[in-house]
Amino acid sequence: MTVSEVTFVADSPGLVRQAVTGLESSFRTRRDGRSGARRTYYDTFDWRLHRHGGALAADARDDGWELRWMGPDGDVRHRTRTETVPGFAWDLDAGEFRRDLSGVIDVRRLLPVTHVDVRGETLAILDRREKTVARVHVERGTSGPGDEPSAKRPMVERLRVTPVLGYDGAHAAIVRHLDGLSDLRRHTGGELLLALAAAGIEPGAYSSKLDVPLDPRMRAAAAAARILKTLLRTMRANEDGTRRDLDSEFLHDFRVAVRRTRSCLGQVKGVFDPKATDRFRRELAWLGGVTGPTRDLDVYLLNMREYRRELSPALASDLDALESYLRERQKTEQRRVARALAAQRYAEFVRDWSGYLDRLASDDSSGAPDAGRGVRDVAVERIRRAFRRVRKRGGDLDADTPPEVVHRLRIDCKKLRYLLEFFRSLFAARRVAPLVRSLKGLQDHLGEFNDLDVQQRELRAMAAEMHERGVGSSDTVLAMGCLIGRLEQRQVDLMRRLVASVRSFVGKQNRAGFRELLR
Amino acid sequence: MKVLATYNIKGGVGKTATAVNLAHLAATGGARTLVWDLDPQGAATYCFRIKPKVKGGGKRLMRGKGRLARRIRGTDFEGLDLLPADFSYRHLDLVLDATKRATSRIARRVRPLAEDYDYLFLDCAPSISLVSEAVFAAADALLVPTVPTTLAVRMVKRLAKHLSRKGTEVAVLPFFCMVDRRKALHRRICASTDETPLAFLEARIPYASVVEQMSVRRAPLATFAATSPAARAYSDLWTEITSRLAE
Repeated sequence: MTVSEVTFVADSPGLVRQAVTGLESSFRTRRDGRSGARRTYYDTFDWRLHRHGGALAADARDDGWELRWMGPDGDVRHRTRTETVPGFAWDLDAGEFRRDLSGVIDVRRLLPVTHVDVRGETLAILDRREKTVARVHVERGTSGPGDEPSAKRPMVERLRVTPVLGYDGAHAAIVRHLDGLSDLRRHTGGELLLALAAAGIEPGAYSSKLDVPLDPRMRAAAAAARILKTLLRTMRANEDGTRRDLDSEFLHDFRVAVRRTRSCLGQVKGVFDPKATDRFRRELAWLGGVTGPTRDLDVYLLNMREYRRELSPALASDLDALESYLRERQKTEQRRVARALAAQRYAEFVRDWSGYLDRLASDDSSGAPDAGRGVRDVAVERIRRAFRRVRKRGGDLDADTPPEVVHRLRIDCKKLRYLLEFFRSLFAARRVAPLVRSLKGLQDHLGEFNDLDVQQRELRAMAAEMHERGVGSSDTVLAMGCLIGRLEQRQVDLMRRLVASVRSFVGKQNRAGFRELLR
Repeated sequence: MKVLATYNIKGGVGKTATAVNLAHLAATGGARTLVWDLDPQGAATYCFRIKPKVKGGGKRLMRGKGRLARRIRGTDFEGLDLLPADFSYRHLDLVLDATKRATSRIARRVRPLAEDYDYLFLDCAPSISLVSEAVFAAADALLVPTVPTTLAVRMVKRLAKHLSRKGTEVAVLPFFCMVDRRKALHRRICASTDETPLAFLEARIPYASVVEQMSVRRAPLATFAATSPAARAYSDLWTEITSRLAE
């Protein structure tokens, strides 16, 4: 039963002054000095901390930074001192802070969200012994996306009532008193929300989750245009981070958007005029191809820690040469990606694609057979067909099925998943959600299986390549060999679970679920 | 969390002044700090203007399954909290004697606080008893304020010998306090400690009436006499202790 701090805001600074004067006449108080802080809030590009209901603040100190991770009430969950603000969760020293942060932000980079300057004074609330029993902080500040003062805008002035341990009653009395003032209102969500409002930043603006509201009576072409525009926005939102390689997720999200776009063009092809879309398909295939190697290398680098765990410590250190080799290659490939996104070809694609989608949204006579049909009709038909394919291929799966067939099943599942996501808003959430969940479980297994398969082959190829170029010693090659063996074993173990997972997905329950959904 | 105990078998040598001032210095330096006033006289508690009362008394506190944290009070200073004294602490020896593994009791009770605090100061009552043994087992370092007299120095040596014989890992950090430069004996003893195997800290707390004023003002020195030699001496002492702890 810890008591949390409570924040009050007023619409004008004068009203806050008045409230302070009121406190001074109603309670025993003492002005307890002034304070200030230079603070930067951090979050990932897709606002993982904010969505999780928290905020990460770094306060400048003489010898570095004080890092605090706060909950929605301003309660500090974790704090630590660091010399520099960590870029990733793994930059923190091992401990609970790192573990919990990693659980939320995973592989994403912490990026500055807003820079805040706070000045304030503290009013101590005293008891008969002149002992502090609660504190009221009167705080003003400025906030902005850049650290220079000219980029910052004033934040709403606020009163923050903080409890003193063991004196909950006094805290409650102050809060009651302030609650009684009609000029003040309580503010929840902490300083971050005030700082974002001042800086004109909308929290949670980006999410990698596809969410396209559609109307069942819409023409299929207009609906497709809306979906594809959303995907184009996602691509564009990730361009900058991808070019600068801030973290691997920018490229990943970019590629997923490209893949979903291609899938949409292929899956609901009746809506598009093939003459118009042929070129775009080629360009999208080019984007998929040019970004592929970097993504693969990103995945290997992210997997390195896990690879090391698979091996004994002695063998694990033999993988150092592999890691630096991968890092070198990733740099080269990443430059290629950056060049592609800066190229004229990409700019023209974005311009023309966007123009085409505008026309698709408004033009009734696109000349494609399904363009004028209702979107729900088309969606039902496509999903039914996609599920049928999964059922067919999945039903035949057993422990001896070759990896190529598993791979094809994985692609079928992906297509089904994309369709469910594109058209999700056309169906009752309670019907779609369990199917998507069940499909996701299967996809996780399929993805892991495929990864293990590809990695074994790739490691073999890399060993040959490293040998050819004279990088790494025979120890490294041996360690890679051991690793391949471990991955192979894991793949065999996984196959059993995979078969069960497929059986359950194409089972009675989901068949009924799809029937209900598509009725 | 570093556990520091201000300890001396004798009373009136400046244990509480040391705990209060150093804890205040730690907190103003940004460390989350807790003082546990283990002395039934409750001088530290008084200094922080907190009622010397703990619900359930020392018995509940030592034996209880409940968390110590619920008995903690915030002080006038942000980042500095106090676990108050209670007059029942005079029976703490008996309470401990009746529990299992008495000497590790305090260590076990304070362990859950490690998440919340960087420093815990144990302000001990003057004695050598079961409670003292439990303090020795819980503390990372014993801060031993010592008046520069022959007998007092001898006592510190005895203490260090006792601890090393028992194999306790606690670091013994004695320092001179109530040093009166006018007294030839004080000057001589302060100068002669180099001969003893026990390393006294360099910082010396002078005999000064501002230190006594702490119980009148009910506040740490730095808040009302920051520039006094005594306040500066405590500040030097804290710097020295933190660097010793870092070693």
